[in-house]
Amino acid sequence: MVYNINLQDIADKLDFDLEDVEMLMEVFIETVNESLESLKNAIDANNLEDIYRSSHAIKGSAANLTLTNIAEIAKDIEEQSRNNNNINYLEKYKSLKVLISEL
Amino acid sequence: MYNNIIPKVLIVDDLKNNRLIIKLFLRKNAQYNFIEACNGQEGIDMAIKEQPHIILMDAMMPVIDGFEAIRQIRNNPLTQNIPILMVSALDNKNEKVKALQSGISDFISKPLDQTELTIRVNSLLNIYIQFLEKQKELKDINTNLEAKVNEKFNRRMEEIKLASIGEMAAGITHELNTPVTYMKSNIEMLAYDIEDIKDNEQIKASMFTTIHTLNDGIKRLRNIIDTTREISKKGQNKKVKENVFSSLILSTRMIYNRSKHLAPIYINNTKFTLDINENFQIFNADIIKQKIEQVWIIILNNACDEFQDSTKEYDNRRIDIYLSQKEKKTIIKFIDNANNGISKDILPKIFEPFSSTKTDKGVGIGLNIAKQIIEQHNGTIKAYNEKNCAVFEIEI
Repeated sequence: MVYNINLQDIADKLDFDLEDVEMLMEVFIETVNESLESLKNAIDANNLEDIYRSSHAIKGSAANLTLTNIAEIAKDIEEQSRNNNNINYLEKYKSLKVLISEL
Repeated sequence: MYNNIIPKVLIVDDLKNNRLIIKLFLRKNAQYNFIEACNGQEGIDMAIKEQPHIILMDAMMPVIDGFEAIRQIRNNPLTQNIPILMVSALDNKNEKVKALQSGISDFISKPLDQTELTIRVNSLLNIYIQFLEKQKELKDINTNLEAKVNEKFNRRMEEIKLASIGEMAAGITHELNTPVTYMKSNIEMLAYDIEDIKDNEQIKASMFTTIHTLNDGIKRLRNIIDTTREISKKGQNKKVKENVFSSLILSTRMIYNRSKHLAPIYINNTKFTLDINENFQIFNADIIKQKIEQVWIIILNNACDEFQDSTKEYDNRRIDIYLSQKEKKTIIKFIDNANNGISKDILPKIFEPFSSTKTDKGVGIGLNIAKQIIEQHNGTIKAYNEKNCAVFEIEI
């Protein structure tokens, strides 16, 4: 798979081989898409509890891979939903989706 | 690193990429056996089944979350000591406090730092593996201890068993002693009666042969009794507070079948009969009852022997036993008026073995045995003459 981001950077930051990072990225994209789908469903159902859970999962996974842009948006969604704020979650979701698809 | 143990690490996280990154981080440093679970329930089940050396637990998971899983792991005796490192992206302070209060051993935040993860995991592993080793050592010690205790217990049981057999043997021989004494004295009486037969020397001779055989049998029985007594005497040297009066009654009962034809016995001026209550009077002293009874029998038997040779009319004969207590001492006096007292030749050496003049009534060690028994009781025994009577005075 070809990535738009520099995997070697991640490998350096995490002190991993490039091979390991490729494997990690592959697994990450697989799981993060599942989480994204859960997030979308939760937003459609306006279920704040599930919005919180899905964004929390995305945040943790992305942060581990030093994907800070993604982690920060996910963290924002997580905090807003934990505080029961009704913001435009769909907008946030779309930004996330773009960032993830650009990887 | 851990005494050749490859640590078993259980990773509980619903996201595969999180489990993978943990494995990659740890693998760089050392060798581990990884097992994985994707929710709290699976984590609990695996912890029980696999007995890992450490559990890395995510907080937010479907089915059962990390907090509930930790609670259940801690409440199960099979898993309660396994260290749990919570690995979570919780960044809210309250949630971190909640995590620490749930029973985890340590906490690490996502994004994970490889060095931090490795240090925390290894320090928990070190402690737990040492704990397991100590636990095993303790268990081994306990097993050894149990074996030792069992061995000691069995040995003690064997001793108790032997002691009971000894006691039983002593009891049986003690019980046998009475009928054998009856038999002996009755055969003696029979011999006198046979002696009186004047008109049929043939029958007389035949009867004496029979008596001789009977005596032989009794002698053998006596031998068995004495030997068994000697063996069972071990462990029977414990002095116990007993009624000395009672021991006198029991001994007199044994001798009675013989004595009743020779002389009446008075105990503290009460004429002895078989129905006299053995606790009619109480004179307690620390004695080895069976041995003391032996002393009374020896003295009473000697008195009977004396009366056998006496020329006195039956109505004038008497054996007196006086019991009294003075300053914690019990004094027992045997007085018989058979032959105007003890002969002056014998008196000085009466307690020496084989000093007896009796040629046909034993080997003459009775009084010597009596003296030894009394000395074993830290008591004294004296023989003297008083008012033409023979006196044996014992103080215990």
